[in-house]
Amino acid sequence: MRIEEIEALEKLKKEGADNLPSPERRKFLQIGLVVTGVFAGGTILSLTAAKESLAALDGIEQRKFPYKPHYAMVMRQDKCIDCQLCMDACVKTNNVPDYGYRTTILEREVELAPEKKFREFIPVLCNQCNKPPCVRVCPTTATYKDPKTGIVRMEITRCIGCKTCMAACPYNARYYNEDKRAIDKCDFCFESRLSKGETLTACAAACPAGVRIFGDITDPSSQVHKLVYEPERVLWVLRPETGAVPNVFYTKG
Amino acid sequence: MKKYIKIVTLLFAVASVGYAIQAKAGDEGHGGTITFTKPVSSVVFDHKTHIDMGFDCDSCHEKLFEYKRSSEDKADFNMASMYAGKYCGGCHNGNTAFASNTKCGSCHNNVKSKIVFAKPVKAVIFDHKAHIEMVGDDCASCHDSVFPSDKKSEAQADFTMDSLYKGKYCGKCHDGNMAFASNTKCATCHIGVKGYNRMFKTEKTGHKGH
Repeated sequence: MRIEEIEALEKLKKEGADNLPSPERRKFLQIGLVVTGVFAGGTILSLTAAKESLAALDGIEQRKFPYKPHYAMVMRQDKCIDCQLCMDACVKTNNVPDYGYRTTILEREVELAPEKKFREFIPVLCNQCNKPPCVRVCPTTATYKDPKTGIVRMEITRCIGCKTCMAACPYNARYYNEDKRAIDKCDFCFESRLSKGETLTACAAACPAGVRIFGDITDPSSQVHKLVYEPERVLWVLRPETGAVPNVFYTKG
Repeated sequence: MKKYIKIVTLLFAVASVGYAIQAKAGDEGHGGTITFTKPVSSVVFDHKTHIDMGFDCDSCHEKLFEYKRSSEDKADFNMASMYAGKYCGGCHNGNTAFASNTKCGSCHNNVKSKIVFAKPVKAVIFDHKAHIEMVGDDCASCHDSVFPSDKKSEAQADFTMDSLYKGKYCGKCHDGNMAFASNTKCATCHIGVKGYNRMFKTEKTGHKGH
């Protein structure tokens, strides 16, 4: 790394321990990922009304976007049936080993009233944050925001496997790949598909229920744009309180 | 004294074994209870009940049923044959005994309480028991007009949500009038791969430490 780069890094605002998820919260999220129905409890999933979550996304109200194309995904969450075809497609497309994942599906049972419950599935993946904590903490710039698309990508030759990014990620979206000897994560299928001319991620293409809507949010004709800007549609993001400004939105219907 | 205890124990053991053998022979003597697994796995036939009614072996064997358990392997072991006087229909014709097309639940009394479909996607749960409670003994509300018993719905190419929206399969009732519409409350029936794994095997999600 050149001196100028180090100096530039040193000028960055200090993260401070406050910005890292607390161990309890992190533990909670991990429990949520492996055991079903345990990740209730407020801070893991904060549901906010459309206005607040849109405010969380810099410039979205002004319809200004840092990137072009600015890739985003809208999850029509209530349509998810946990068939896991998205996960299968992801594993196949991106050679994901069985000890890790780039995308997974959470499950919870919500009790509406005594004896009246409903089950919901919540697909999760890297949120390709506009202010990604993982990028801020990476000591070798191995993980970075793609300057064109805004996708949070990995340059595995620079990764030293320190796993700091795993600790910093509010979404538990990273794992250490033993074959690559580097951290691996969802890159919206940039390397496997988008860079080769495909327009959809493998998971979005595989979803039979129309849950994962992927596209360029700056394109007014894209379904992502239409869903995000549909009047009266309630949107939310996961864990807005972290200030990471995610690009994966959730909605119903 | 020790010797005496030993002898008593031995006698007791011999007696118990003897009793067990006798009991077993007794069951086999009249064929016991048969649970048929084909073409549907829900019919229980109790030999003793029928013998107690005064029938003997010759009443059924071998003109209706071979002594060897073989009926369920035959292609015509179905309701249509019974209506034609074969198998159970030899007596269950409305004269000798209640007709085969009535009182379904008297024989089909071992229906699976929960059916799990794994195709075209994993996985959908159907709570047979809960639905039977809703319709009472009226099996005909679904069988065979909506779900033919001789066909596996999963194996049909049109066993899809689109068909349901057109009023086929579950969509016959799940239309928003009789029951919640098929395009709502997805996860009520769709239990997913996680639900499937919980029901059929030990959790294998690929996550460590679990």
